[in-house]
Amino acid sequence: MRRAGPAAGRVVPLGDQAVLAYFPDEPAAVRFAAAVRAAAPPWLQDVVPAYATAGVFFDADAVGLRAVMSWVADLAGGGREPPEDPSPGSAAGLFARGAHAPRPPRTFQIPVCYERQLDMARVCEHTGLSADEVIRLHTGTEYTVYAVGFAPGFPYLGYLPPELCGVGRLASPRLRVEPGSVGLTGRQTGIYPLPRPAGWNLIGRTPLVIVDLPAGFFPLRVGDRVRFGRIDEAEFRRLEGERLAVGSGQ
Amino acid sequence: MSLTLLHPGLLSLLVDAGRPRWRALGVPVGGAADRAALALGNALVGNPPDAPAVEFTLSGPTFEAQHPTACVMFGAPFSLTINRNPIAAGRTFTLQAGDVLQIGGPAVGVRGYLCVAGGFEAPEILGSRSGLDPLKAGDVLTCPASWCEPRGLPFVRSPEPNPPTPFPEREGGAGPESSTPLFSGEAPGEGFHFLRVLDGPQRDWFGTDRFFTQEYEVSPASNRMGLRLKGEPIARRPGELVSEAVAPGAVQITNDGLPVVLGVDGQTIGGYPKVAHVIRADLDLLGQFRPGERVRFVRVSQEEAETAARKRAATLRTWLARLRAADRQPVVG
Repeated sequence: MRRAGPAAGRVVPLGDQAVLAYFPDEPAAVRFAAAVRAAAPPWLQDVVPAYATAGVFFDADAVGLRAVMSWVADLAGGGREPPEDPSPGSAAGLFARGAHAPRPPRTFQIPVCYERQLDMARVCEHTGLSADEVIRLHTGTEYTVYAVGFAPGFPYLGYLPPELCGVGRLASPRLRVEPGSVGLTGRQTGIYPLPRPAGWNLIGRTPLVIVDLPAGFFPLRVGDRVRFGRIDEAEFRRLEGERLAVGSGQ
Repeated sequence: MSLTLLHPGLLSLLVDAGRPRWRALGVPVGGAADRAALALGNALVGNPPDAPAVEFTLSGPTFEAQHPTACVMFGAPFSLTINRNPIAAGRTFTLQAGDVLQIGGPAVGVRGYLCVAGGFEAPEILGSRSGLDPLKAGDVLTCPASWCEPRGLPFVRSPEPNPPTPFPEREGGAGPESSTPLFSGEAPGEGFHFLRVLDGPQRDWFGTDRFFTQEYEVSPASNRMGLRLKGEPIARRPGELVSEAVAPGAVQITNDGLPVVLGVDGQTIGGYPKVAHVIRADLDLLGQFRPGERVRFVRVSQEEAETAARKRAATLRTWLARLRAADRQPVVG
């Protein structure tokens, strides 16, 4: 069977150890990244989808830039069928484990205490909405993880309902935000997994651990779906420090 | 019990070859900023190229040994003393219990590596033993007891350590690749460095060649995340870029029109347009620029990039093989 591949776009070098592929839309980039992981050529180091693009990182001692560009263009154009089930001993089988295991997108329900906010007043002022309306809109939308980056495990979630769009960044970033802080800017919302400097307006905080780097715990992947649910202070304290349950809220 | 860190200097980190397979989750590659220096230092004490070592920047750490330990300091040639007696960088030595090793500053370059026979022990996190946080005073670094006779590699002051490939008169000549265990940080004369680059994905956002024709100055705000450069701002077409994958070596032009070259701890995705990308043969050099040094970018073809990478890898392999074959290997345990 010949699957319809992600529509081919521009494929360009990102230095001499990676290439970038551009797609017409975000789902095409997610499908392409999954196809690369499933194909798992022995030179593959990583594939990094972000919005409608995907970066393919390779071992430059094992393969040349030109060969990878043509491989990527071929796969992006749907001209190559990824293997259905790589055997466990093969390079593909090796790559199919852990962080790289291709898996269908999951849906997560993430509790947020909107009382633990720092910038709700600013968001209300910009949008002309009450805090309750902001919360209703923020929890009333199912988001997609379009990219993971900026900091380990930080999910870029899109897109906000139009009424919540267009809020800028802070004039100067905070030097440290609490882990679990939920922020928004532009068309995006996101969760700061670790204490970091951060420039988004913060409207709440989740009590759950969404990243544990030393343990390799990164439940949220590009392509996953996220819904926020409102909780109160008591519930926040009850859940504080628990891990985000993988596959919850299916 | 092995080495106690009495003072961490400016920034001391446990490093190996980093985490190249976790970018999709937003984890920077990390590891040694100057991979060749780490590999050569490790080879001098009989280790595999990516055994964990301590990297330090500009102002080095001070250690006290708890048991005999065969060591070498490699990378930028830092001054160093044992119990206040100066010893040579780039030569192996054995610390005895109670010895205090004090690492000062480098005459050229910024980063050095303390490698010990057998490597430092550290927990493996996501496939790497590179530390997630800087080392601090009082930390104890564990390694096996070991002994060695002194042996070394010279720090090179080659007249042409890093000739850019587009200069045809230098092609095929006796470049540094053929003979010397290159130290990445030497300036090739005339007071500035070359960095060879390929076009970046957004090269066409910049309607000017000013990026390639001007000399930039390294800003003191540079670190392992990025090399910040000062110079004449370059103009670009308006518009915002949606964040996309980036990598060490990417030359981003920030909103002030100035370049930031991403380093080993650089973020994994970014929304600044990339005018160019430093080729892998020159990535180690990024880790050795001193604030105030001057840099020029030289555009090369993909073929030239591949040739440069092959030559550099071949030189490194040759030296690693020579050190493996040589006598006076350290004795571990």
